[in-house]
Amino acid sequence: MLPTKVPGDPYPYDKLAESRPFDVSLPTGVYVYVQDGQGTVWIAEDGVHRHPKVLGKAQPAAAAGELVVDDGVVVEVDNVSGTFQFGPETIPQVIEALRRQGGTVAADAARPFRWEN
Amino acid sequence: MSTHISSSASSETVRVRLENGPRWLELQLSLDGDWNGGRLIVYPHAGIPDVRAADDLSRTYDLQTWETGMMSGAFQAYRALNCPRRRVVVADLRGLLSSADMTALAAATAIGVAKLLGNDLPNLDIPQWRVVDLSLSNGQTTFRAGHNPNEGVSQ
Repeated sequence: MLPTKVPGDPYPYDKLAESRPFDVSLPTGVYVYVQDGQGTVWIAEDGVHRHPKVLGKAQPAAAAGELVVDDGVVVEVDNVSGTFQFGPETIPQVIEALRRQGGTVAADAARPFRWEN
Repeated sequence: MSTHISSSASSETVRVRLENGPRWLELQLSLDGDWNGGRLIVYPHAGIPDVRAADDLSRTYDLQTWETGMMSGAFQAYRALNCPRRRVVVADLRGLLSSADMTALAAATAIGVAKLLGNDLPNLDIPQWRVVDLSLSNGQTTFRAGHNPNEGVSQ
């Protein structure tokens, strides 16, 4: 199990119907992701306030952010989520999980951000 | 860590008001410098927000909780418009909101940030909420009373 924390918005939203584990069939586009405590990276199409609905029910997460796929390759992965605000140290575990789930991740894909000034 | 700013933000501000029956929210936003980490949401003065809670869960919310929705909306606008992220100055946040209304707050922030960037956002998923005011500080008023934000906001 990975260390987790609960979302900053504690409302128990329903899980998005489209929420699914990342896989290699993901079309080119921008997505939001949330990694669960078991290490699986779940993704959903971009939209308003999506992060708390990827796992739903205010479930704790191990990482969260944005993910850009271009022609089957993850070309950007960051830790930008207002809901979860995980630190940049979560990005390596997310990239490892994406590769474990069959993805190809560009060597320069990591986009770490710090929340503190 | 200070949440206030002393630097001058963009002179252009936007006011966004959304309503859903008795529940409502009003935001006044402007954009500051590029965001590459640190605080995304900043305030020009103390006393923000003035949100009245409409249910038991939202009565437990503080500024940090409401900020998660505003951050979520701002980030979504930057993603959707493929624009560089900038800090968001919140000069006003008022409303009567329940814990289920965070998505509406995020949508209002996304609409406002997009307007400040000279754009509109399509397909905002906030059923039953209507944009009743969307006005820039230069006097340009772009709202359409009764407009359904799920169909996007256009001039």
